[in-house]
Amino acid sequence: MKLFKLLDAGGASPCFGYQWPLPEREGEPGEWTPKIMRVGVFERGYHLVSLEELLDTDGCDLWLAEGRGRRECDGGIVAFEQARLLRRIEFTAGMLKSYAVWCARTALDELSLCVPKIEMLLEYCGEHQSDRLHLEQLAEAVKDDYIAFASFDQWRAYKCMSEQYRLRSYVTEHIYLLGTVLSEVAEMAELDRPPDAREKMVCRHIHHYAVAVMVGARLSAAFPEGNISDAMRAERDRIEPCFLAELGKRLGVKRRRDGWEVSRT
Amino acid sequence: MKMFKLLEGGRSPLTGYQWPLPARDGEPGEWTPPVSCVRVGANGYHLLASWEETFDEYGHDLWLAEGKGNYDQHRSRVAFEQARLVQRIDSFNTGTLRDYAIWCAKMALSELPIYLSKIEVLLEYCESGDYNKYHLEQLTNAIDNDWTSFRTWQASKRWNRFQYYATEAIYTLAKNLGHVPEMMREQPVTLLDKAICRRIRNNSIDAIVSARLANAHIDDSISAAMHCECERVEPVFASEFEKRLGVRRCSDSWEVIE
Repeated sequence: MKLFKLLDAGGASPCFGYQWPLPEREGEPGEWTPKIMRVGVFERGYHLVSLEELLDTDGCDLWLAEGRGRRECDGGIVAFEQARLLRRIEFTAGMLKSYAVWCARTALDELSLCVPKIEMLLEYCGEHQSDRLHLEQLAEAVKDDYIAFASFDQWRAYKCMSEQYRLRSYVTEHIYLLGTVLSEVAEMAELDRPPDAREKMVCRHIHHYAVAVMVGARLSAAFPEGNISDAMRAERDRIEPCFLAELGKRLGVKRRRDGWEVSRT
Repeated sequence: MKMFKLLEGGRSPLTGYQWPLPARDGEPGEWTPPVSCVRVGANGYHLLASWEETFDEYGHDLWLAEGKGNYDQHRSRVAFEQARLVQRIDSFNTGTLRDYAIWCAKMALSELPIYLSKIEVLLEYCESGDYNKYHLEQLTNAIDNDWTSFRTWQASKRWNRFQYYATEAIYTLAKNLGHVPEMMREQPVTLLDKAICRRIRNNSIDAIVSARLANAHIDDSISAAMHCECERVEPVFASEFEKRLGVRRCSDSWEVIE
């Protein structure tokens, strides 16, 4: 089964320091790791992850890796009895930045009106030479708006707690959270190097907030009946794969029946 | 045919003609003397076939009035050979216009997927009936600043045009909403009150139409789609105002709901 492995530069596991056998030649897989008995996620075994877990996993060098033998699975994390590295995948801060911008753009496009300051911030993310002072002012203004909204929302909650108000409040909160994190995306400057933990976290947050905005915006326009949490879960299940497909496209990987493959040479 | 007439203390605001007022409550006034060769804007007793026109006309007392004999019509304006006042519509006052404007703004804001806190706070302020000039100025200036910075920046940007229309309509609505706290319930309706109410109503409809179309995939003509959506939204706003005025349409005439 082919999944992903994130390692530190040089091929060491970021958690345990285990040195994975690197491929000797380009295009050929590395050696299989020694067998481990009684595998358990976060306990024993060679841990590979699915695309969904990529931004939550430590490490900066991304590999397509294969696992075999006994396995145990917990969500998108799988512990195998044996594994090997197949191919290094280009994984850079620039790619994460462009993915984060895409997520934010997609979420903002879903809204039926413009949120000016956040649109401006997003524009900064696409510019190579940003005016730092203006960027800071803008980020502060978005934070101020978020604080103003939070106090308004708290006060509003006393007056009305209909599902419709809650959905709008949910969307507004997440659009401001997205705006708050977007200022950090704009500051990601050196783009050719592997991403650091902070950059992955920023990108993960943007992904999460963008999905939340879309879920809330779609439901608030649809006036769902019945259990709102079920409706949100169902909508999230529809939206999440689009975001992951975009991330996969940017990484140059494609999902297959049995794991993943590199689609770009 | 029963229609609307706007007067000021029984006089026509434009010509100064004193209409015969009803002698008793519930009874119509006398018929006006007949005039020949009626023509809209020139000769005849002018009534309004639709209350929408009252927003653009001078006068603060709204009457249900009846016309008879020859008539000439241009859009909503009808000049009759003879006419009489049937019933004063007391609900046409600054309070009604103010409440209706707030209702319109609420409808528009509730259509949006997010809260625009400052505009929501302004709306709450309008509803509260408070009037603190300093506080109101702070709030409207903050909204104005947001809009100005957006407009300065937005030129040459890639937009979903409906997103832009909706945003523009909402901020224009907010600008007009800033005048609502100045509408004093006890004062007679002024032309400015009517203009504010009409603008808020139009901004609200524009915002709703654009917001709905922003999420739709329009294959055909954009103006046709807007026109079509407008025809769905406008009647909702019209029937709300009629309810507040206490009038209803019956074929080509109007009646007061008791």
